[in-house]
Amino acid sequence: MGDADKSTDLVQGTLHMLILKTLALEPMHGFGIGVRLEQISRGVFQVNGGSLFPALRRLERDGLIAGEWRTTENNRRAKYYALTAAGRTRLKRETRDWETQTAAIARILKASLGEL
Amino acid sequence: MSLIARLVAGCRGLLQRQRVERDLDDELQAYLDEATEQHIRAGMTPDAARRAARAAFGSVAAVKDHTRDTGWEAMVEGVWRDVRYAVRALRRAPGFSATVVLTLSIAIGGNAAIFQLADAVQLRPLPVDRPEQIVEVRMAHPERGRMGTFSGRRPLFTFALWNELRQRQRAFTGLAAWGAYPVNVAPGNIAQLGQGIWVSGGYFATLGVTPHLGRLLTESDDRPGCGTPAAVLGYGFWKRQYGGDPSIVGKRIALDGHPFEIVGVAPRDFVGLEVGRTFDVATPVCAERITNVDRSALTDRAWWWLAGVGRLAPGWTAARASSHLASISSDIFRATVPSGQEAKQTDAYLASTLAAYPASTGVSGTVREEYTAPLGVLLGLAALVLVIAAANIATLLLARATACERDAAVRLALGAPRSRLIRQLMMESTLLAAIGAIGGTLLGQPLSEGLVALLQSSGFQFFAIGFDLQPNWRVLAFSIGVASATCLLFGLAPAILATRPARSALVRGLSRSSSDARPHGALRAGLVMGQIALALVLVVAALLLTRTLSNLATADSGLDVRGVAAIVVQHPNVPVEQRRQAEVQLLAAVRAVPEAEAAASASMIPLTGESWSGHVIVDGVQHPRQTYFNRVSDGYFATLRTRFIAGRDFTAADGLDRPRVAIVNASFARELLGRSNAIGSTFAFPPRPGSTMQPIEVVGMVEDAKHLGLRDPFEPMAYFPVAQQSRPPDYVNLLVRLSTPGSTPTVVDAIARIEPTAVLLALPLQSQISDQTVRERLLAVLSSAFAAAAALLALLGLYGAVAYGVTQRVQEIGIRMALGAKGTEIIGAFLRHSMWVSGIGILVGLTAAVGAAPYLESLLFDLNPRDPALFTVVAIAFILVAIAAAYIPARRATKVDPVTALRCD
Repeated sequence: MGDADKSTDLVQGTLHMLILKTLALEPMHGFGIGVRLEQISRGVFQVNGGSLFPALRRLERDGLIAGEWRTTENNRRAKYYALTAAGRTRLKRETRDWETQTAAIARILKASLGEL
Repeated sequence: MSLIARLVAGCRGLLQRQRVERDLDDELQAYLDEATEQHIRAGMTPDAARRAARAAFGSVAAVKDHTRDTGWEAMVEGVWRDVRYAVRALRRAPGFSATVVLTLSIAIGGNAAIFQLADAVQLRPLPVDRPEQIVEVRMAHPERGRMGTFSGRRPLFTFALWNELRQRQRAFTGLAAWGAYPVNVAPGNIAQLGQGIWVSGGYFATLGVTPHLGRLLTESDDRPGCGTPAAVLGYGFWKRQYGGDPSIVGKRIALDGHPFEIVGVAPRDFVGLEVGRTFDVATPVCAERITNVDRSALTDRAWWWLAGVGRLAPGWTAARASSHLASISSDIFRATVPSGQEAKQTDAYLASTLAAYPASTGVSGTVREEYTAPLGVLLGLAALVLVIAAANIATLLLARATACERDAAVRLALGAPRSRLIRQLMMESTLLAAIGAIGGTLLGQPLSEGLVALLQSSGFQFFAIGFDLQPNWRVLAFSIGVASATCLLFGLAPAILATRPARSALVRGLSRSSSDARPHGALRAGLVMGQIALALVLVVAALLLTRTLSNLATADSGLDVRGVAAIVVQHPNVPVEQRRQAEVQLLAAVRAVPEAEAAASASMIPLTGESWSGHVIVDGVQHPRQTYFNRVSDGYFATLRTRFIAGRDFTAADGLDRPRVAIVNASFARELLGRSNAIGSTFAFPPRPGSTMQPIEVVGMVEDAKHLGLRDPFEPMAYFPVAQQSRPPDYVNLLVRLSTPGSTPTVVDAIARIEPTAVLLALPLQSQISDQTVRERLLAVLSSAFAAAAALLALLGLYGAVAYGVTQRVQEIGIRMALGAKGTEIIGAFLRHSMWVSGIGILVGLTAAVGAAPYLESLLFDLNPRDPALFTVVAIAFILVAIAAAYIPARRATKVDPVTALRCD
């Protein structure tokens, strides 16, 4: 599988956050989530079904997202996932944590001796 | 919250598996459809689009697996699948499964049985209300202040001392005293001894015991005078004697010939406070006067016969109670000084203090002291058997695992995680261990009851050992723990080896090459080696313990008890002044019986634990060496076949009106009188205040004979004629040597004819010897059984290993035979290998046995624990048997037909 699935390069745990963010914009089915992630990341992240479905199952199990069978625009049946209240809270917290961490990492990487 | 959500979702996953599964299928299908759609839109043909979508997605089955694995229910499902798989696998090999389960059941059962006994001796808390509050109260140094008469198993209080303690103490919310005594529970004139306990009125209330039937004794039962005394039956006695008759309450029981009213039955688990002892009847302390008409312990301040425990008041500890008791001790002892004692003795008495000792697991009598070490040793030996059994099973599993190796290799190659395969193989072991544990637990109960039966005395029941052996959580936890440890031991190594990916098992499995035809050879050899080494240790231990038993039984005790019956004649109705005459008549009547070869009477029967000891005055000074005494009639030494060295036996002339005489043993002559021929020497007892010293002349000298116990060394001993006893007791001990075994009833009839109202108790004296070797018998029997099992398992292990090697190397043997190798060469090759393995095993075992033997030393009698002869014999026996065990399967190798062997596979 390796090469096609760039999501393995994702920092551990970030896939969950990205899925939550995607679903915060609008409810979406599995394939849609993958496509949306690829679009937004401009092709940097290609999430494969092999990673996506276990992640969806885990998020659903934790009550962060809820699934519902609906009809797609192509007139097919698909399971649409939407953020729950708990999911919204979690996304807010994770976004905040992420921003703090990346800012800190960025500072470290830019650091030069003069600033110390 | 999310935990609950997970739990609910997991349960739904388990319960509605099909729906959840269909859901997932649909979802994945929808995903693939969308992906295909997108590819078509991008201009692919539908076929190519479908293929591309599939390729990008990867294995649908794998994705499903991963998705499923996210929940905990997947784990449960996996385990359940493994269980079912394991059950199927084991059912396909019923012989193998039965062998393993049986071996495990016996090994675990043996361990559980011994642990249950050790638990009863060592760990089990008293089955009373809040046992942690129970402490034993006794003198801090009972060996110093007590003088006088001692009776029962724990003579730590006189009645006066107990009463004072009860009135003055404030550390306890309740106190319970008891004294054990042998009691005749039969109504007629042939006695049946049971175990009685006198209990204080507060005994049951203090302990918080509830009756099985009726009621228990209370303060109102224990009052001066006693009225018609009440009795409570022990549960075991009630079952044994009355068949568990529920209407027993209100009926009467004759105890030592006196009527008692049965008011209730004690609960099953309550067998008294002494570890390893039980009681048949409990009667109030006040009733002591009823059965001891002659001289009551209730009024004798120098008669020690009671033991006591107390329940600590809330907030009190044993230490605080001890300091409280110390502060009131001097008042208690001053108020209870026995009369007629020497000043020195009184000083020692007054200097005594009482103290409290934790007793939540019961008070430890001799049983705990005597059996702690043996049970520890037995538990160790049993554990060794279990380890050998585990090694044996590991060999079997290894053979199975090797057979499944190809299967395992294929599954590993197809991407199964190794942990899954190990889990699956471990599941088989776990299942076997679980069934073995259940079997072992079921087997453990009857086994431990059998062990207690082995401990039962055949003689005076007073010293019989009894336990309440109900299964409890500790025993259960032990069995489970043992089974789990065994399971890991025998299951893990084969599972890990069989799934070892480093070797190209697949390739090797498909075209077996003879160079690598014996997989895991080192482990296999190590297992066999270990089994042989451990079995050798067990055999050495068993031989040492068995020889101890035979040494004890055949040790020169100076008396020959075989064929001698001891008959106790109790005749309290005969007045004191007529007792001497009655004894002479009894002896004459017994000697007139044709089957009686010789007969005598004695105030103490040897080897029953009864003793009378003290100091004598030789040449005007008290000799520091303590010596033992007995009163015997003429013919005593002839009856017991103790040889005279010099002088004469007592005669009818040695009466009260004649000079005092004695017969002494060789040790007495040598150590106290300082000469090899003591005839004509004199010694004396220290005179009582106000009387003169009476010289005692030695008229006879006999060889040393054991008196107290078989293990005790020979002690100086002086015998006095019964005829020179001023106040004969209300019983006569007769010793009769019978010419024909089993003729005791004839003698008993003869006695009953002349004394129809006397109560008789007859016992073969031989039973005293077996009673004294109960512990050794237990050790010898069990260790022999363990050693036999271990040796058998180890030999089977060796046999199996060689047989396996032969089957594995059939091709190689075939080629060699085809190239002209002789049968003897092939056998020789196998024998050489197995001799290496067993030789190292024997050496390791010998080293271990030499190192471990000193641990047995305290349990041995007259034996060197590192006896070189014994070790040599064991080593040679092991080598011979190992050759035989290897030769039989090796010989099969020569029966291999080269053509068939080469064709196989």
